[in-house]
Amino acid sequence: MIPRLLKEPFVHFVAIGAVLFALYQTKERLAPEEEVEDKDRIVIDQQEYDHLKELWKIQWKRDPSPGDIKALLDRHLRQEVFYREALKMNLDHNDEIIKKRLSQKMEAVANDLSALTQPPTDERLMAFFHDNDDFFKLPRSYQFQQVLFLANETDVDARLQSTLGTLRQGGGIPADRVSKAGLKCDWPLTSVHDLDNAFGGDFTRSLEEAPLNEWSGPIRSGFGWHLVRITTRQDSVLPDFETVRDYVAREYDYRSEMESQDRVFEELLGKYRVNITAADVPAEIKSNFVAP
Amino acid sequence: MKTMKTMKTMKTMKTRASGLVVTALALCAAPITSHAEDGVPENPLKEAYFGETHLHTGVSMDAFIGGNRLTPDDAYRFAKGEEIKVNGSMHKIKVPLDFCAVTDHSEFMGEAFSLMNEGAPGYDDPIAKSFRDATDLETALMLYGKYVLTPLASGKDPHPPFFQGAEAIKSTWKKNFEATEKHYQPGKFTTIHAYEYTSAPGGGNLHRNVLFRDTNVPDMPFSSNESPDPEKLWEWMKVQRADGKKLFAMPHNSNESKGLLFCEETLSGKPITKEYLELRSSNEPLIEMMQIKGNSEVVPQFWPNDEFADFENATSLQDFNDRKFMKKNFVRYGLTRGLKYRQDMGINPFKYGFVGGTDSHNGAPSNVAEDNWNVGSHGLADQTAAIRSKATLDGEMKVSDLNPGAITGVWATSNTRGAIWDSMAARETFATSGPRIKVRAFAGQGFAEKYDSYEALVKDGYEKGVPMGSDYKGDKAPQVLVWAVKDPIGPNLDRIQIIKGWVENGELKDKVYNVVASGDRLKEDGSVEPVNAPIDLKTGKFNSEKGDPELKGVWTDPDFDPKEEAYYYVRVLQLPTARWNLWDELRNEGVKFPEEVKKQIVERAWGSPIWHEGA
Repeated sequence: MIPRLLKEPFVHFVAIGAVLFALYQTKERLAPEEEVEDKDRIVIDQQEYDHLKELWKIQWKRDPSPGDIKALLDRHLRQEVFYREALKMNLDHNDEIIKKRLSQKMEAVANDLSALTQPPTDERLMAFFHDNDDFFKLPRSYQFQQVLFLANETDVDARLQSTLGTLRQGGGIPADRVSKAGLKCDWPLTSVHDLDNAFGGDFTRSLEEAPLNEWSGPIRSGFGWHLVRITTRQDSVLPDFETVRDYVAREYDYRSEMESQDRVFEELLGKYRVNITAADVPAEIKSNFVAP
Repeated sequence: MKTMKTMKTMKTMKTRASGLVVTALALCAAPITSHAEDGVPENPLKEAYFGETHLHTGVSMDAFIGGNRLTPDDAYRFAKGEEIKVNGSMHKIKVPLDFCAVTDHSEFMGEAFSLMNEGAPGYDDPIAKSFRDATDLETALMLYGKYVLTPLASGKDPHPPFFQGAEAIKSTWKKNFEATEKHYQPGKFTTIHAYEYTSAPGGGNLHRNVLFRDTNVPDMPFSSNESPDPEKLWEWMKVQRADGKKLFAMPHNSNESKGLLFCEETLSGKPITKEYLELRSSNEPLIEMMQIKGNSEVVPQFWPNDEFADFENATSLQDFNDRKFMKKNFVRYGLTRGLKYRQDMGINPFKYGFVGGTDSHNGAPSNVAEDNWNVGSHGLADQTAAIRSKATLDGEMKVSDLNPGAITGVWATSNTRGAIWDSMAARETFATSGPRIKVRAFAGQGFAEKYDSYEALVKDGYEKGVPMGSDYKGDKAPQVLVWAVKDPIGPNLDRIQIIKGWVENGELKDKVYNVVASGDRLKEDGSVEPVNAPIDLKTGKFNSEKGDPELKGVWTDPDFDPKEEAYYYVRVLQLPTARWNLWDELRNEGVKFPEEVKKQIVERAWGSPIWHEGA
């Protein structure tokens, strides 16, 4: 009977009330000028006050009157005082709601942790940039001209050879081949990723083997056959940091957040000795949490 | 005070992480058209730009409760080809986009602000918390039903109790605005300020996406909470326009509209007036042809003579919400009905060009490739292959009936907001069911029989005719010059068709003409020898031999009557490819879709119509 009674919230309420009342009676009220310990100091500075007022205004859609200000300060102080006293009495311990809320907050902290502890300073970004140079490397790029012959054209071989001859002798691209199938002939320096999307097939792979500064081909794409003249072949390079700084910063933020979620849990878990004594937890699951 | 300080720091960090550079940017102080657009080179013959026009992030409350925590910022990154965590796993699109509009629901934007931003008023409300904490779909949907759908259906205040009022809506709209500004790179990647107006009276879908031309946007979007009647939306848009803002609306999912979209009377039951037609047509140049929840062009039951009508019809929509298919729910009907309004009352209210979207609630724009749909589209409801093979989507349709969605193509002079929006407003657009097929058409007189040069073809198109989305004004039978090219990484094209709609003695008519076919398959009688190029069911690979990479030709209307109202739109068919469910089966052992689910499809593009207005 007694243990059950102790679990009743109402009993808690009465007990807490009694304790608080006792505390209130015994503790002298402090005079304003008297020295107090920092932990017993409640300061409402301008920033805090503006914040409280702003919250009030969002809810009520008008400026608070003096009466409202008194009420909101009263509410704030009440909450603050009871909250602090509750903490002193350890009333927060092992409360399911508080546990869940605090662990959620801790997870949110973990999300922001890397940003808090490792803000993306220039040095960090630079280091991140170099540690992930494969990721940030600009893909191989080509500047080139191309002339397209659709796969289904008649006499395509003969036409290819004759045009190749003309081009090699310095002739221009035939008028009917300009922007054939809507595909432009002159390509500024373009990455192989974009070229893959624009040409399909094995086009970009074939470009690797094509000679520089002379017409060659045919090479195959998703459209048909191409004669190509590469004027610049730029190997995969790490771009100048400054030109991609924003992109690096974005990627840094994103990855830090993703990683810190797991890393923080792993690290914190490491501080604890987890001992799962329950018999029916499968060993392979246990091993996830229990240090060997 | 330690605790307080930490909380404040956290709040600042959050803002920094999601708002980044532009938090200081005030809505009204921003320049209207970015100066950066000035230096972008223009191509007078226009380029086709591909993009998303219909997408939800975690800011849309239904997406949020489905588990989506992505922001517009994440969505734009995804659109640019970056890899992000989508619906539980890292994912990216195969081909980055040229442009993107994030269209979060304007309804409940305020709630989204409370739900997503720690420290925001309402964040700690127990109901808001229960929304956030819902880890399974059932709980989430129960909450959605209880706090959103039920009040909405009963006509009561639809806002759940943690709603903080208009200021919260403005805050969300501003955050979306900031992300949209941040990612705009004129000439490279265009972002468009947009939102979705979400009205569905009695379950009839009257949703509209609203797109703005520039940074001159209202400080709060108009939502169906203000009024579920689109007339009120158009009136609001008119007021915005008078205030110097440029915007248009695009309806979608006419297939779910229960006859309300292409209507015979106003939503409030009044007869259609000239004012109504005027108001509607001045606000809505485009319609979404297809998205994840089905292709709205036609269905076989009402168009038995269209041999390609059986395509992503999402027929299981009819099993829920009493959304039985009716002929008047489909785009081709709407286009033809619009002609009759023009004939009877002088204005065509359904003069729609085409766009395609996804309506993805995963925050992943244009994730449209059938072979890259591993993460689904609607959070937990279609997250894995195993779920997709069996589940239904929120009591709306079978997941196996979903498709990855469609994409919009815009013919514009440059990849800038101004150029893309202008071409959309002028309807020089097309939609595809996903592939990057390009299509254009011109109607005019005096075209050559054959063009060897693409540039000559396009120049002639503009000089001797009008492009897609325009009016052909001649009184001789129009020549329609058509051109299409395949997706570089997709299969070849099968054929180009022209669909003509007209009104004859008061009756709505339409007919499909085969105009160009690959090889020599187009016969004298207009029929086409089937291409017979099935996919390999064991590997999912398409036939890479048959079909043509490029198709072009000129077609003249054989039955033209200058007095009749008519439209002509182009449909391009590509060779068959594997449907997403086949990839699910091939990649996931033990996953088996029901027999009746198609394994291969004929993907396609639709060019916006060209109209001939009768005498």
